[in-house]
Amino acid sequence: MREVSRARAWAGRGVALIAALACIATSKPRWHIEAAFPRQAPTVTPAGGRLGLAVTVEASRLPEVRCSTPDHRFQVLRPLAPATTTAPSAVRARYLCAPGWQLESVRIDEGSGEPRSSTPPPGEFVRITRLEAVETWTVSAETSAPIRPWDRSPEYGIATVVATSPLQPYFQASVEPGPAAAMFGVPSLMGPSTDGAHYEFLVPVTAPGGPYRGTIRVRATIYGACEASCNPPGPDALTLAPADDAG
Amino acid sequence: MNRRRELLLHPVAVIAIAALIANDHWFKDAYPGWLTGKLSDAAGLALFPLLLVVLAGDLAPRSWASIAVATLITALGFTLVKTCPAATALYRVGLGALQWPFLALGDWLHGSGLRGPVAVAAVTDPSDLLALPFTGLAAVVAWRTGYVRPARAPA
Repeated sequence: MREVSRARAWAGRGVALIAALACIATSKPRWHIEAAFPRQAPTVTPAGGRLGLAVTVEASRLPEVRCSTPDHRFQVLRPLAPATTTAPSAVRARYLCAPGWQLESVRIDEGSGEPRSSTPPPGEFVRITRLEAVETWTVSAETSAPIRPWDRSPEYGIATVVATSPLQPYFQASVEPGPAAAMFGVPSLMGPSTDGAHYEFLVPVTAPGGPYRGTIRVRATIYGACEASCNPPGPDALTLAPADDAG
Repeated sequence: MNRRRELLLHPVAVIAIAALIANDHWFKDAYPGWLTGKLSDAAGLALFPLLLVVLAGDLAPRSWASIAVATLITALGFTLVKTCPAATALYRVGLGALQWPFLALGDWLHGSGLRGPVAVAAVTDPSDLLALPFTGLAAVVAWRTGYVRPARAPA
């Protein structure tokens, strides 16, 4: 009996502490700042060409840079190279919207999802310092992976592909047999891994007719900006493997 | 048995705590809208009077008066924050200051620069007063746990 009473006393103290912390942690700061695009600068380049859009950004924290692709997908870009620190609380980073992609937004934020936004704290800023069309190189690779049942439901399948690349690859996928048998979702990025070189993509497949056995064919492309000269890296810069073979 | 601590172990209090945490940290982001906007208010109003009584310790005698005072403080504070822009601003800065040690600890663990206190998000919105009746749950919990009456009649 005494044990139970002691346990309840400790539970009471614990719950009081959690309740106090929950009350303090409510109403988290939620704000965002969106960078204005420089006037008369291009925000899109022609699809199928060699020109991409290089975006140089300075901000108080690493920004989120989003582009939309010609097939209306949003890509959150990673910096072309690690961001450099320009001041105690400022970073500079360069991003590349691939040929045909439209620059959508450059922003920093804290918290998300709530329409009510508070004022950003002093010292937070984001600005596009340079936005220009640049020559690009591309390297592509293809692989296929079997679709496995997923989530204990025969109507859902999944294929996992691992990419090894120093840059974030852009993925396109198709299902075989064709889309009449199954619908496939947008490949979703699950990585990169802690070493920053492996990107794992999940490709959800829905087959309303029941169990679906097929193959997903994945094409990945990495893009880079041509600097002084345009020497794309060799094919080793991007390798793909089904997750089971990735080792 | 310490009846004061039992207040926060009552299912209503536990559900309020769970709702407050889940709503602030997941639901508001996943399902932004009217319902999630009000849920934290309702949960906080149900919970806060009980927390005040527990934190007050022996300063709050075991009586209806303690529950009434805690409920009144909660309701009055909430009404001010939701109707008076100056009170809203004070709340944003005050709660931001209370959150700052945790932000600073997070910054330190991430190895990033130390930030100053950040005002929290809050707006003056009288429609949030719809949640005020939830303060009444404190009285229900106080009665059900035996905080304001003997739980069992003496033999």
